[in-house]
Amino acid sequence: MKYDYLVIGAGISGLSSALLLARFGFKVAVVEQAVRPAPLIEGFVRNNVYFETGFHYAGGLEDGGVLDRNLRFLGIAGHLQKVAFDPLAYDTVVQPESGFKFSFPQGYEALGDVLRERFPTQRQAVGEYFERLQLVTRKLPYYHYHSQGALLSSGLSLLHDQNLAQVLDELAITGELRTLLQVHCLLHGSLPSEVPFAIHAGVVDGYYRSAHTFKGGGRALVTALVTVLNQCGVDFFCRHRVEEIELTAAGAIDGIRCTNGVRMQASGCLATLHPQALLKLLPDSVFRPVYRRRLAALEESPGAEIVFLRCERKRGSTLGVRCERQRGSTLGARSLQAHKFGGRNFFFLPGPGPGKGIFDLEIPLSERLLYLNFSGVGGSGGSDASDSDWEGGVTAILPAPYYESGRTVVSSAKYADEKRRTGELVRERIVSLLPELELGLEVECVATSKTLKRINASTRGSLYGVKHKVGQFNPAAKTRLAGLFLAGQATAAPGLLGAVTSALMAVGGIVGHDRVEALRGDI
Amino acid sequence: MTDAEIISLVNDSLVEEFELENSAMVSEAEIFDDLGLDSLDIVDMVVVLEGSLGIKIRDDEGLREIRTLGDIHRFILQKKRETEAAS
Repeated sequence: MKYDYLVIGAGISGLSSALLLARFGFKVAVVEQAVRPAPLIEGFVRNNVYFETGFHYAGGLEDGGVLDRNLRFLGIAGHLQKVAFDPLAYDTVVQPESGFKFSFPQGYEALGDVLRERFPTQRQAVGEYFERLQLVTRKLPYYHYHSQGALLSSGLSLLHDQNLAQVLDELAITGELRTLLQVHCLLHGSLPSEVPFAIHAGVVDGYYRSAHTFKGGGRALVTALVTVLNQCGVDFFCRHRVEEIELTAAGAIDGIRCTNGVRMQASGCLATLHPQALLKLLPDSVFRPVYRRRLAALEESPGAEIVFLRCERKRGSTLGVRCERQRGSTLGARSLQAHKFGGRNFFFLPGPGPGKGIFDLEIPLSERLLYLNFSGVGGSGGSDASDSDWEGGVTAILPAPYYESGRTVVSSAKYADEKRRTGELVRERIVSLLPELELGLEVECVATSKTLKRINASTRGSLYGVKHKVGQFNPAAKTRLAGLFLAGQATAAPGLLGAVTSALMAVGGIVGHDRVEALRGDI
Repeated sequence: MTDAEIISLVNDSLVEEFELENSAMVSEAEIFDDLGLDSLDIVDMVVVLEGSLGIKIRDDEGLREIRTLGDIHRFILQKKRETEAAS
């Protein structure tokens, strides 16, 4: 069997790329080292509770929103049921030390209203900031219709113009308002002083419009993609780790060779792995030294400790997660209301002292940035529980140091003990912050940067792989090797939207952006 | 640095990073046709020039008009003067 394209990596970027390539008539196979596709996104079930791993919520899923349209284009929207996060408080930001608390309502208008009311002296800046956010997304490729922005030409001006902090400075946005507009840096893993404003805008614009998950969570997303890929005749090879992209004597792509000895022939490859891992698959002579050095020097987003907690009702508990559903909108979207935690996120910020940045690892775990995701609670997202069931998985994420492969080998018993202590510490902290949870919250398990390194296939164990940073030039979809294209969060942006966008950019590079846009315009 | 020193530094950096021949580094050399660079190399060229000269290069008109090695030299000298004037 000879394929037109082999897609290396079955994450969201790889699966989306394979789907798009199949739509354009190519014979495609996906090659993945893990046991099943999308191990980062598919979540896991323990003791009958589903835990969300890499997919916590998504922006731009409202009808006609950027992600909604792209999922329709991929042909998977019909396989997914959207579940809206809390319309009045999808993200709640708390600074325990100062008592500061703010909840983000869904939609620019509602958010603008509450921000202007809360920060009357910065009313005008709020409006100007929102305008700039929306304006810069017009330049992002595949964000709006026919918006082939500067990214596709060279990417220099747009991404290396201003960072988020500079824009906030220009608008004289300070204090707690600034904190709120920076908090979503956790969704891309770069600091306000690093992240290109355009990338930050591309990530947060969708969330400011709407926040959703899917019924069945990240697992449902993977199932939908695999279902449609099977219908399109795309082949899957899991448990196949690519060791080499093989070239002909003339230097053209011939196929791949896996560590298990399996060879597959293809005239093209679409690689979605970490850019630094890509370098190991090809002879040095393929890329210029300067390009190899550029990829080797790319900085990573932060590492993390991730604690999975089981949230359940116990007799006498005050944890009331009552759901009122609104049915009937298109695509079966439902919204959850009038519950305490289900369909919500919490961001607990480090104290306001100097130097206490959101990714500051000098801060002890007991005070470090803590993100809590309740998308699976109350039958909202990942939980398959019935509507009356209050059980669900809670995910807590804290920035943490990388896992360095050179570090002293720690015995498995000691590692397990470290994880147990982290889990207990984080549980105690959550209970002290949200006392209603005390009787119904148990640690299920803990993941670390070491886990991320394995599941995420990132070189050091980071949340998002390569960082997006002004002055750091991440690789483009096209490479010097004819037939080799790159996709993945590094080439576009993190998150579900970033992954799908990277697939559009790569496949657009292969078949022509005009053809992709023409087809996408028909949706 | 004198203009000649800057030009020499630019040429040396490009020769080393893009594996070019010293003899090909004449001002009238077309960067795509004669030096064998392509549009994909532009980002790396910017990285190299920024790194060796301590300047910031953005996607401005000047960059897009570059066709020959001499254009690169003129562009860099201009940038260098702007940077010095600003500081």
